[in-house]
Amino acid sequence: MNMRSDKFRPWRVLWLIPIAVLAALSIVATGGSGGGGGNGDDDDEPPLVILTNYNFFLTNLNNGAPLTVDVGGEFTVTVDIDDLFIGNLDLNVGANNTVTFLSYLLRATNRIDMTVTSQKGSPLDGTFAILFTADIAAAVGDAPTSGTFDVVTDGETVTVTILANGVQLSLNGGAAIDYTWDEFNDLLDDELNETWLRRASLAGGAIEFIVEQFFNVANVLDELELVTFNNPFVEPCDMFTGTQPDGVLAQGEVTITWLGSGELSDGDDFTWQFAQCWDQDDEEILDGTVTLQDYSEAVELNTGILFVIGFGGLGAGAPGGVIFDLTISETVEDQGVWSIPADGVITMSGGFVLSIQQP
Amino acid sequence: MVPARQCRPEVGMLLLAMLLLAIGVLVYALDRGGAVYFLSGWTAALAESDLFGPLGNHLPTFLHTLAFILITAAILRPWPRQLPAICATWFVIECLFELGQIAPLDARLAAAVPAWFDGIPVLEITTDYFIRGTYDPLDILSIGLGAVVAYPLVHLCLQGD
Repeated sequence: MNMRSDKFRPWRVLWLIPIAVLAALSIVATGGSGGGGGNGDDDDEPPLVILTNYNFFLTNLNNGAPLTVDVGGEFTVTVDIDDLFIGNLDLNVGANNTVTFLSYLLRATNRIDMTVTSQKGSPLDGTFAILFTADIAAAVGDAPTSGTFDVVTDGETVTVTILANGVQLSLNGGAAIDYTWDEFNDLLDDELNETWLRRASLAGGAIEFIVEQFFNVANVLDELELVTFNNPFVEPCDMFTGTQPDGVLAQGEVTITWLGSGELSDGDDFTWQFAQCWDQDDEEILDGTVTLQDYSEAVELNTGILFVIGFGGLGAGAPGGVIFDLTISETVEDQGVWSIPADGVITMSGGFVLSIQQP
Repeated sequence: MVPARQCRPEVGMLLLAMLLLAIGVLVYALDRGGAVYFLSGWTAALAESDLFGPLGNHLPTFLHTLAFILITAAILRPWPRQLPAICATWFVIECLFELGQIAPLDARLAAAVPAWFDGIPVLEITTDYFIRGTYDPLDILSIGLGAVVAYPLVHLCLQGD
C-alpha cells in the first residue's frame, strides 16, 4: 500500500495567490536603478549617447490642473490631455550632443478634451473632443502634411483631413471642403462662419499650441546642464526695432534658475522666468514664469544611451511637470511704433507632465 | 500517521526554487553591482564583478520563470497533468511584464499605476519598472527556455510519485 497520499487538497490552490503576488513584486523589484527590468549591465559609465528618434508623452499634472488659456479676458479654453498624449520625434544630434528637432508625429488614438467658456456667450461655448484617427506628421516649424482628426460634439462630427498644403473638412461624413492653412486658421475669427467650421479651426489651433509648448520646453532641456554651471542663467531677449509698446522694456530678458545643488539630478526643479521678453520672429512678448518641476533623466548604464528625459512622472499622482503662469502678448507695428492689441493678450496657466523616451 | 518521506518531492522542488532565486540575486548583487531596488543599500560596498559573464544579462529571467514553476508545481502536487498549463501560465505572466516595457505601452501602463502605490515599498517603483526597464527579445527567449527546462525538471523531481 502506498503510504503517500495522492489526494489533492484544494485549499493548497490558495497558496498560489501570495505566490503570484510575490512573483510580481520580485519582478518589479528588479527595476528602479540603472538598466532595470531584468536586463542590462552596469559597466563603467560610457559617454552620453542621444538617439535620433524618441517617443514623447504628455499627461495632465498631478493636481489635475489642465492647460488653460485665457484669451483677452473674453473667453477661456481648457485643454485636457486625456490621460496620455503620445508623439514621436526625429532629431539631429550635432557636436557636443547639441540637439535639433527635425520632425514629429502625433499618434492616432490621442484625445484632447476642450472646454470653451466665454464672458459674453458664444456658439463655441461648451465641451468637445478632438480624436486623432490617423498619425499627424509634420516637420518642426512647418504645417503638418498628413493625418486626420475628428472634432466631436453631441450629434456632430467634423473630420479634418490634413493634406499636403492645407486641410479638408467634412461635417458628419458630408461633402469635403478644401482650405489652405491660412484659410483654416482664419475660420475661427470670422463670427459669420458656421460654428462647426470655427470649432474645427479652434481644434487645429489647440493642437498647434500644444505642440508649440512641447517644443519650447524640449528645446530648453538642452540648456539645463549649462544652467547648473552658470546659475542663474540670464539671456537678453530681442530688442524692439523702433518704439516699444507703452510700459514695456525695450529689451527684456529670460532667466533660468536651477533650484538644486551639487550635480543635476532627478527631482531637481527649475524656474524659467520671462521679463517682458520680446521674440522678434513671433512678434510676441512673453512675461511670467514657467516652472519646470521634478527633472527626470535616465541613461542606460552599459551603453550610455539617454532613454528618458523630462519633467514630472507619468504615474497617476506622480509629482512635477511643466507649470505655466505666463502671459503672451501679440505685438503689431505701425510706422515704427509697436503696440499690443486689446484682444492680443493670452494668459496661460496649468500645464502638463513631459517625458521623452527611447522607443 | 503520515510518513516523513511523503513531502520530499515538494520540499525538494521548493528548496531547488530557493536556490535558483538565490543565484538570481547573486547575479544582481555581483555582476550588476546591486543596482536594483531590492538590493539598494545592501550592496553599496560590493565591487562589480563579471562572474556570470554575458549569461548574467538574461539569467535572472530564466531562473525566475523556472523557480516559480517549481514552486507552483510543488504546491499543486499531485497534479502532474497540470504541468504544461503551469509552465505556459508562468511563461505568459513573465512575458507580460517584459512586454510592458515596450514603448509606448510602457508609458500607458505607467500612467495607469494608481497614486496609492507611491510610498509603498516595491510598489512605489512600478512606474520606474515599466519606464526605465528596457524590453529585450532575448529576455523573452530566456523566459521560454525557463518554462521548457522546468517541464522535465519537475518530472524528474516527481519521479516515483
